[in-house]
Amino acid sequence: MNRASAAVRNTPPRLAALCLLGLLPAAQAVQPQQPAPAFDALAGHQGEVRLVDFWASWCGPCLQALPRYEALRQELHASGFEVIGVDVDQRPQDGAKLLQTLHLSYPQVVDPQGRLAELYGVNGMPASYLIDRKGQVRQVHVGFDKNDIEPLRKAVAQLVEEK
Amino acid sequence: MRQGIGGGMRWAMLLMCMTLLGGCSAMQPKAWQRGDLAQPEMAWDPDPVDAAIRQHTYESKEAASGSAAVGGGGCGCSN
Repeated sequence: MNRASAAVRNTPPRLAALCLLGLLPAAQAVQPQQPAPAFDALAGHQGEVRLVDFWASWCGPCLQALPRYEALRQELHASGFEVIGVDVDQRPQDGAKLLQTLHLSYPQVVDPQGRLAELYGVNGMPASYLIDRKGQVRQVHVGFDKNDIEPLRKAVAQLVEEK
Repeated sequence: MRQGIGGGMRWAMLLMCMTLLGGCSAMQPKAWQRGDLAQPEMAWDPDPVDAAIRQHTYESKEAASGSAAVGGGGCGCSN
């Protein structure tokens, strides 16, 4: 015990700081009730309910989600709902080729370096962040199953009613 | 007379060892960096149907099952 405390006392402060730095997490995942990290496409739809969807062409569940989000957007866009897709393909041409076949009407952001994904702390694919009119994250969802769309539709319908 | 390593040198060596060991740590790709890993050629069995047929043929010919990947199968006579 005494030997351990002596070792701590004798540790140079710079080395101790270096060790503590290694313990810090690289990026904090965005949680519900936190303000959504800002980026241009998100700011362009301020005051709307937004769903930020991180997807990639190589991710099977993402391909199931994209047309369903498009349908949801078609249904609720007039009420103030927008989907913002973030393509995290490291080769953006892969995502662009897929988009040509899907004909999605909502805005897409290309993020080959994963800067936005890092900012949001994406820890699985696809990852979606439901953001209310005030810019607060209200729901975070990782993965996709076709049964997820109905609860999402209800959540969006509720959020567009909020002023 | 025995001469020890100086305090500064000791800490420098410790730091160097930690740095070298840190280089051996696994670098797990982030969720959005798995594009190359998701390619079909990276799969253990690129064609699961073909793999299942080959496994079925193997089991039929060897009259044993499960010996390719899990414990069990075979005559068990080597123990």
